[in-house]
Amino acid sequence: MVSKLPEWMDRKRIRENKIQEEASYASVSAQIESSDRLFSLGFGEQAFPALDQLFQEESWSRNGVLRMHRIENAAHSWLEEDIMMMTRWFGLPERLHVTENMKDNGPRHIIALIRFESLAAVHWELTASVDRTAAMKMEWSSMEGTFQYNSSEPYSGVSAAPEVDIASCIHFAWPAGEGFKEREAVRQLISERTGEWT
Amino acid sequence: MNIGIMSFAHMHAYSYAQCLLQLKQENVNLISIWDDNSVRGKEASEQFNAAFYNSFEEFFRSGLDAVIICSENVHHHDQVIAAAKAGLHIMCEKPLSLSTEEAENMIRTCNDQQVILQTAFPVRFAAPIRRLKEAVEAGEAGEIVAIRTTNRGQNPGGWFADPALSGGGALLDHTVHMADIMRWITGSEVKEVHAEWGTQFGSDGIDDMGLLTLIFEDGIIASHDASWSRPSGFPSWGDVTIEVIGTKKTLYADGFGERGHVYRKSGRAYEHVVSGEDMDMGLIRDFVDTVKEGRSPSITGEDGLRAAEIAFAAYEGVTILNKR
Repeated sequence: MVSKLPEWMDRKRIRENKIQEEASYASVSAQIESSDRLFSLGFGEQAFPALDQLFQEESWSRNGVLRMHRIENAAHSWLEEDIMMMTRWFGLPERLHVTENMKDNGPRHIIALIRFESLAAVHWELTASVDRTAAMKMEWSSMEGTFQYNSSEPYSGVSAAPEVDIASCIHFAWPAGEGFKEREAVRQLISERTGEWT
Repeated sequence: MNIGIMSFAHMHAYSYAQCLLQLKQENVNLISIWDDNSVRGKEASEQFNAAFYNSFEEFFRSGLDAVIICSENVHHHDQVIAAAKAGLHIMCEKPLSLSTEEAENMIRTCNDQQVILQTAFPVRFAAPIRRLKEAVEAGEAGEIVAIRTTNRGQNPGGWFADPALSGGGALLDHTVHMADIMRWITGSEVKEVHAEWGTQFGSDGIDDMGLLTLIFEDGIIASHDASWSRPSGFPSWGDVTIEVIGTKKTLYADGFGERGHVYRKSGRAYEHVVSGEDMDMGLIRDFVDTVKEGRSPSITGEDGLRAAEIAFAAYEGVTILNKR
């Protein structure tokens, strides 16, 4: 089933993402086929429709600040997928700076600083280490208010990672056949700025 | 010890004055106030039972040992120079200056005059921040890989929002505290600054947002969020937070995290009530002890310069700081 995923999704995260069980892959993959949509598989995506609702239904402006921090126990960088998701709100990314630091005996941390067409400014960060519990935190601030989400909030001292919210993934997916311009622009910008680790 | 306050333009002056009153039994006295706004200065002099002056010369001759400068940022340089030449020890509100050259001149003059120049960075005295530093020093986080910090509040208005008096908005106002804390905790200097900044929260004619990526000389990377972005309904005035991501684990501290939660049926429905130690008191006591003991300040003019320099660099968008 994985082989039927679009090329840009069928990547090492599918193979390496240790937070996913085989059953989840099957379930998600089945829904990919039935929904004919392209989307990322990271958890925490239930935050995206909630923020989307503020943009759509409460007309929050797209000129603000988004801070997003993923903690992963797998090697994959979600940068491309997350920027793609952001293009739906903020248009194309215009500037991107990426830096990372990694220790032999510790986590790899990546910081991406992004400015979008809408003037939204984004700090996207990833902490990746096999010994960390996966989590996703995000905060959007604009003139209308602040939206905060933390996937770890319901837990304390619980090491089990939260599960992927498939409904949210599908809700927020790109319909197949759309988003090519955005995908090319995002890929080009990332490859210009980052090199090998994407 | 006799202390004067130069200007109540910055709201911290009122808090510092209250702290000085609490030290009265230790023979620390707030005896003089200078302000270029006579109405404001006279009100403060009545409130804190101190003499009011609107002349530098008279103020400096009023029997002072030290001054605390809380004027608009644009005046810090000239007032530090004047106080130093009067032979007075100085604590200056942040940001120390509006340019590297100004700060270097302030530091040089204070050294020449053999007076103390301390930068007012009260966040160093927030109990959660101090405990985090102790934990880092004890090796609890392991080797530091990255740091994430925030300092967000609301637009204070008044001269803070006037670039001619403040020299900059939220980027300057809310970068220097955590830039200082990161330098303090890592013991490393920032070598590279990348920033996106602008006006995104309704301020008029001044920046109210800055996102900074910092690269330290020892390889540590950091993100910092400085803004006047907190909505009016936010439960506190803002935040001061730090997350240290180390090889062993991640440590987190919230400078205002020692708080109570108040829920009301009406009015301000939800509010944080700070219940922890008073960081301003820690700062004032440290300055007083520094002057009493004649020792080097725990937060130097150089610290004020290095923190401000990071904000100056951020305004340039991308800056490689010169090797020192």
